[in-house]
Amino acid sequence: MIIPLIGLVIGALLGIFLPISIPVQYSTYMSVAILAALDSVFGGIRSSIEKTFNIEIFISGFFGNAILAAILTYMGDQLGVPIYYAAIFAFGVRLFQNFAIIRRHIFSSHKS
Amino acid sequence: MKNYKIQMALALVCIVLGIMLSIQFKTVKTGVGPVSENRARELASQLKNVKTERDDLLAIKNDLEKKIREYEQQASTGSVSAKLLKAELDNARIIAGLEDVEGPGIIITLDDLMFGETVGFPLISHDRMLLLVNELNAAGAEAIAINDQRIISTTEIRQAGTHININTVEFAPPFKFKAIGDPKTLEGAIMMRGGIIEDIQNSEIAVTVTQEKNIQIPKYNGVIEKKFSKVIKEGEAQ
Amino acid sequence: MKKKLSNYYFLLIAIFAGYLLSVQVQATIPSYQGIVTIPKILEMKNEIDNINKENLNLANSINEARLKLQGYEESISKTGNVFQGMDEELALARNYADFETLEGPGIIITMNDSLSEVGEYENPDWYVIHDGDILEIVNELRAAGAEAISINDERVTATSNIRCGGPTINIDGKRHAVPFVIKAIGDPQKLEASATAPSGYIDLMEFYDIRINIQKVDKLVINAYDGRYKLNYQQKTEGGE
Repeated sequence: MIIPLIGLVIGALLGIFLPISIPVQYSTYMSVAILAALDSVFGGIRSSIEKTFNIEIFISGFFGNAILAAILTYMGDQLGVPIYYAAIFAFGVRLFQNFAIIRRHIFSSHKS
Repeated sequence: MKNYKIQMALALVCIVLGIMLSIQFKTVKTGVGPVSENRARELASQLKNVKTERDDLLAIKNDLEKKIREYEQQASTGSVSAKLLKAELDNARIIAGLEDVEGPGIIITLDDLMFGETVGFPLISHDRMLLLVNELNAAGAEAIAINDQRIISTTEIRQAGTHININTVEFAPPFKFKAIGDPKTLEGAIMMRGGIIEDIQNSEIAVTVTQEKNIQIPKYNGVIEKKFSKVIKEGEAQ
Repeated sequence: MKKKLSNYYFLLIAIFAGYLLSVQVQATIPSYQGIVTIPKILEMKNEIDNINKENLNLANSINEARLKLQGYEESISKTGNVFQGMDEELALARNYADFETLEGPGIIITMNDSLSEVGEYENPDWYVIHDGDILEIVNELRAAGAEAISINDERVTATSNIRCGGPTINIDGKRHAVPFVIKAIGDPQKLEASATAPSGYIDLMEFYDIRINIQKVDKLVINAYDGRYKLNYQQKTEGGE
């Protein structure tokens, strides 16, 4: 599990030191995309523990979910419906579920 | 081997996630500040404070102006020359934009229907507004206000991102132009074929123009600075 | 035995949860309605900034009104009436209404249509000065704090209109020929900076070889507006205060 962590650190450093920035009004889309990405990462960890990991599904899920979430948020803004809450809710629930399952796997593997 | 591949995939995705996280962190930190309920509460109370401050200041200002007017009124009940002086003063103030005025005219509304806010591009740009004001002036407008900001001789209309600054106050669409003058002439001048309104409509801006019998335009609310210029009377050495 | 232990855990967690609940209830924090989002925070921030600016303006005009009142009171104590004070007020209002000739430091911008040949595929329109160009320059000068502006010695007022196309310019219906001379009184440094800023309007016009000359001067004179008061339709709003 150490390699993904190193990746996270590298990415964070890249983001801080590269002169990339997004306009403030788009930060809502970014925050939903981040949540989607986080969800995929937890899902990936879970499936790798369960040995059902599939690279294609994982990568497409990561980018697809992030982009879809951002698009839905944008559409919600246009329609005046805060679809953005739905995305937060769905991803949030999944995130905690995956985390709970990961915890179970870790503790049960320690005991056995 | 399989495990290694999984780890690499996770690492790759984590790099992207890291970049997203830090960019978002940077944006929020520099552009917005903390987004928390505490902050929202703080801002809401701050907003309430500045609003009451504004009300207080407005009350003080109105009070002072009332006193000034009383003095002038008192003076003008006396001699004929005093009356003339008072009338002249009123007129000069009207022209300078320092009095609330009313009269017939037209109201023009320009609305980009949230285009600027959602797309981040100023559909209604300041040069269009300058041209419209110019056109109204050419048609004999005597007083103009945009979103109740009186246009005086030092008023600027400037682009500030998707917003427009008028008298240094920031405005977002819709923009409501009020102009006092002959309603028919004003409307005719801007609505003419190939004229300014047609040009504005062609760029997908929603425009409404209405003639009104009585429009009220507020006075200029700021302070006119004359720090560098000095009045010279005719006949004085230049 | 195992069951007992888990009961103690439950008890501990329940006590902790109960404690948190009572603290939260007692705190009676004025709650913020709704979910806090970035756009909401931004909107509030903008509104506060705007009102602050407005307040600053108000404070300034209160100072001005105080001075005015003081002038009237002085005038009364000296001469027994407010005529002197009103005279001063009238002079000030006439100054603000552009009916006074002013003198001060500033800049002079001279413009001429381009002399360069119009290329085969180029629009000759690019090489002449338009009303939009002049409006834009006047607007920039105002934003840079110009106190008085004139074009070919016609005072630019709040209700001036400018028409321009090719070699002539109409200001309030009066026709003038090239060169166009724009004079502005104000802080010469600021005025010049705004006029010559990169990507500024004048910069853009120089690209098309429209001949522009900017000159800072310590002393220039701008004529008073020589028209009449435009009072055919507007009148002072009475009462309502």
